[in-house]
Amino acid sequence: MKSIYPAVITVVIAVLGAADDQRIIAAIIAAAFLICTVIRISTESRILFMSAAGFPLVLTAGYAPVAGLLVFLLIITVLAGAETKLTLNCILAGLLAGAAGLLFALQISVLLPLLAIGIFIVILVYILFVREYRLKKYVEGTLK
Amino acid sequence: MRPTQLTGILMLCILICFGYAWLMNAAGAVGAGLGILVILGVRANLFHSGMKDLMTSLTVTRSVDKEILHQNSIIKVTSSITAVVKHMTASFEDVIPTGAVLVSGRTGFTNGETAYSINLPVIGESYFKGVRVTCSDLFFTRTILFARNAELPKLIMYPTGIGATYQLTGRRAGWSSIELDRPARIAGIDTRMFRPYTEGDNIRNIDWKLTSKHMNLYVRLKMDASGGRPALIVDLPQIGVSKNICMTFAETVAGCLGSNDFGDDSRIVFISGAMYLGMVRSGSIEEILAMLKRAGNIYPTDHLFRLSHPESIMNMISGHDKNQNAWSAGIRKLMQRNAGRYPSVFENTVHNIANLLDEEKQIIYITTASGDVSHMTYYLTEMRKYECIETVLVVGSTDRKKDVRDIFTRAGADAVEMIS
Repeated sequence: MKSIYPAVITVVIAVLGAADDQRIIAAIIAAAFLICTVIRISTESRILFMSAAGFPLVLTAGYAPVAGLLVFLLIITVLAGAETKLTLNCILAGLLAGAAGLLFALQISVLLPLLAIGIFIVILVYILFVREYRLKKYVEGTLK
Repeated sequence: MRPTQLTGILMLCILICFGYAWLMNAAGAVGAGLGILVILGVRANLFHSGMKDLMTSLTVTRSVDKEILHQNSIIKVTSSITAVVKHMTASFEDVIPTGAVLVSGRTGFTNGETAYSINLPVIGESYFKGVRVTCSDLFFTRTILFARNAELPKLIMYPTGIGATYQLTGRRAGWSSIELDRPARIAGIDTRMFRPYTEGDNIRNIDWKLTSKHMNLYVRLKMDASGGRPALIVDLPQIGVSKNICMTFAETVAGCLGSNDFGDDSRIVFISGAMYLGMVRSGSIEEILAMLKRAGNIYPTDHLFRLSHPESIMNMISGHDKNQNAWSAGIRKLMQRNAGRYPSVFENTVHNIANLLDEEKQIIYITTASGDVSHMTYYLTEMRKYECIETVLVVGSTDRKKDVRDIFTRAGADAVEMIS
């Protein structure tokens, strides 16, 4: 998927959903984000610039659902910019992160965001340690 | 799994986001940091899956010009790989055995292939370590050693330090001192005889005491109490075998007679397949040469010869055979009762040869191992009953080297050497 489509949606939602006193700064950051998406630079630089310009957009959100939605859309946009095939798993991970962002923005409980981080850490540990261990065992030789 | 520069910067961003969130109590900053973290997590997962697919699809084919080496051998290695690489960059490098030294060429693969030469100064068996794979994408990089099914072929290095020409060392070479082998004396073998180590000798036969004394490697030759010589069983190649192999075969027989101290009175048994051609003394050079000239000109009659049980003949002659004594007839009846049949001509012949060679402690077989080798396995099994050391020299075996080695080893050969 081309990253320009989710980028435009992100920009529109960011400007419309920004807090009243931060709408101008949101518009400026959103414009920078859009420019990062369309200009011809290397994929590596694009991801860096999109992350640097895109995620501060979340800070300008005036409403909790907008913050969650922005987190989700930004993840999708950056993954598309990184030329990653958007599978159901990627979208699900983005949705979970968006939900976690929403919970943080609501500031209703300390427990739920902690739970979200905990789940995320478990997933990271699984990837970094369990799968790594299995791969290491797989490539091991039988002759010494 | 190591992060690239881009991932490092993104992780710095996450840190700044969380720091900002902590200082300013900004929930959005946590969401932003978490978002980048999710991206990195997704990419880590994809990178890992890609790497796993790569490892699963990776196949390594490696060939060497020689597997049995001496210290100064230069081994030419040719390796090729096939792998499916998805969404990442991968480079491959062949990893040479521990202690090996790269002499020429490069171990890195180009277009899936590489060729190089190494020297292996490590005594004994060595294996290749595998293939080192370096995968990278925008976010992560990883170097892993892929050893699964990538360690063969096995290399065996025997130390040498012996020149091409050598003098026989031991009693017959006029040594002033005689090495006494006390454990062997108890077992009935009194005097040791040695010869310098040559490529392919079993390292268990190296006499370390003598080696340390002369600073050269020597191997023990087993002898019986009477100072008997090793016996030779020569399986002459039959018709159809190339002239080159016949020539190598004759050279091997001559070389064996020269290097194993056969003397003039050792027994040399000539066979061809299941046919018994005769027994010659090692001093009868002309007879030996006449036998060797027959190599490659013998028509095979193995099957008829091996399968012809003399039962029918025995039945015919038993009535009027004046020479057949009662004791011999009794044994044959006993054999028939227990084995269900009379022994075949071949079995009788092998049994008689084994009886003749029962005092020998070392039997050397020379064969081309072409076609049916069951006669050789029968000989090996029969001779094994006398607990002698059996060495098989296989001349010109190319395509089924491993099979032949396995067959002879299972039949009881102590050492199988391939000569091509």
